[in-house]
Amino acid sequence: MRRTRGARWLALLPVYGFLLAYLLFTIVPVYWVFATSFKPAQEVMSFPPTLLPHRLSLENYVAVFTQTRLARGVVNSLIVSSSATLLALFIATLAAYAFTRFRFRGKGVLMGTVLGLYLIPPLIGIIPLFLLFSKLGLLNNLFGLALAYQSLVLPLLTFMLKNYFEGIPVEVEEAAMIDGCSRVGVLRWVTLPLALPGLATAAIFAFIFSWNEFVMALTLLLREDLKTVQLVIMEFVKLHRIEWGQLTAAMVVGMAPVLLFIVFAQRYLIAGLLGGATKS
Amino acid sequence: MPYAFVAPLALALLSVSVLPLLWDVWVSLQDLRTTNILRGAPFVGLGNYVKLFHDPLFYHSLRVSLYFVVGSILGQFMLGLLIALIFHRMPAVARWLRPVFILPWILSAIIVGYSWIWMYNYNFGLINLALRAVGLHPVRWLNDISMAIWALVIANVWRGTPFTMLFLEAALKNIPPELYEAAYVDGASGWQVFRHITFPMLRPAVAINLILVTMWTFNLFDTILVMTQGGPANATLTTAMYMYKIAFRYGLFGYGAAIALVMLAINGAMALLYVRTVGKAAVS
Repeated sequence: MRRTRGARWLALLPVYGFLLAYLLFTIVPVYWVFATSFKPAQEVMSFPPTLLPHRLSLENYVAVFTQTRLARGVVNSLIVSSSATLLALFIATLAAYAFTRFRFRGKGVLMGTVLGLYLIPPLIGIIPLFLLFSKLGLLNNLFGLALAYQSLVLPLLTFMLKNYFEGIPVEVEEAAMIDGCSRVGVLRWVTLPLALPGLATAAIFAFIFSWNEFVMALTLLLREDLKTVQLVIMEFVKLHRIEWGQLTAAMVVGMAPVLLFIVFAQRYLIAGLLGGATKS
Repeated sequence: MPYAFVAPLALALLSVSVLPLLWDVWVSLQDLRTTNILRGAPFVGLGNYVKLFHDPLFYHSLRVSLYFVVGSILGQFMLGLLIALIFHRMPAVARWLRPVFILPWILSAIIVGYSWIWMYNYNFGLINLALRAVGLHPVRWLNDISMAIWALVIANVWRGTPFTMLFLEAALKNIPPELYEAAYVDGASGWQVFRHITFPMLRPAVAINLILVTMWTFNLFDTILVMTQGGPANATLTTAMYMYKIAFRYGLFGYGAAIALVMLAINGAMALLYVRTVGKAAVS
């Protein structure tokens, strides 16, 4: 404050320089994917590579939707992600509500287990999960995969929603109960409407996690026609020669939902990123 | 009544999380492979564990994991802390940059992996394009034994920094502004304020963040599976990657389960540390 305006600007110069450098670091890899996806095949493989596409072309997008299983992959992913999200929301809402509003025996043990499972990666159990699913005939089943994803999203969602419910005053519920509303009625008609932003955050998270996941999908889905969008993208690389134009176009399709969430639901995203990790 | 509410959660977690973990113990005591999966595997007791402790590749994988974890955390933490401090002081700038900065964190491992493979591409990658532009020799990033692990670390720092940034930014918001006001009234300099107020107040959050990120990085292998699959010549074979490869590439489920359980023990130790640190943070 004692310094002049010019001197302050000078002092902030390294800060702006750093932010600019980090901004470039963040967007350049994504930009390079986008730029490549809009180049015609010839330009993708021209040396040296062009920083900007000389001619914008949609041929890669047309190719991935007509010549590959990408569209099918998108549909499969939508089925898996939406069913995993709905199931997780239902289960986590009930449990989180019980954790905030009830005292019962075994609550501490159960909550400790949920926290432990949040910290311990589901990857550890992937071998028996594969064996279990093959015994139960749940391999090659999109809903089976949605069930497996519960191990990934339930612990996070339960804590997220519990934090949210704790912020809703219990008096609101008591008033409704005096008016003759049942417990389930209170949850359905009083608490859930108030918790809508929290539910939105939880839903977005469950969806993104399921949409992005590929290790379990790779392990539990062996049939070509059931592959999720991430697995279809992987297939571009198994071919003898990588068609980078098509691969990058498929990647843009694969990250589309996430980009939409960043543009339209950024507030929920940031709340959610922190919701599971900060409190417990 | 409460039990009806928690029953679905208990049931779901029991079947897809707890049961597989317990079964892992049983699998790790057998010589279960793809070849004997149908007719039943021989029970070998602690044989898999004995084998593990004599397996040079396992120790190699622990060393690779150490490089990967330490490298990732150094980069991710320093960048994340720096950005969080800047964002905290410049909310207007933060509002514009934050959504862009968090992008890598929510992209899938497949997208992250291939984006970076494309960046590192020898002929057509942007990084070698830049190296050539300034007159340096291009590098075979992912095919070079000494370079590959650091190439993965850079990609992982790219992906992980947003989490540390958001986490520490939230922690900075929780420091009561009165503390700063009092310090400035007493004539403290910017550095003194950071040294005596910001940093001590931030310490619990820093500890929690470091533990979480350490665990996640140690267990991470999805981007590695996409980018190098542990190669070249095992140069990027982390313990998590080794476990996956043993089980699903070589079909040695019993041996893979033993590695998974050793990883679980390491995670358990970290988790205990986490719980104790969170507990302490709640008290102070």
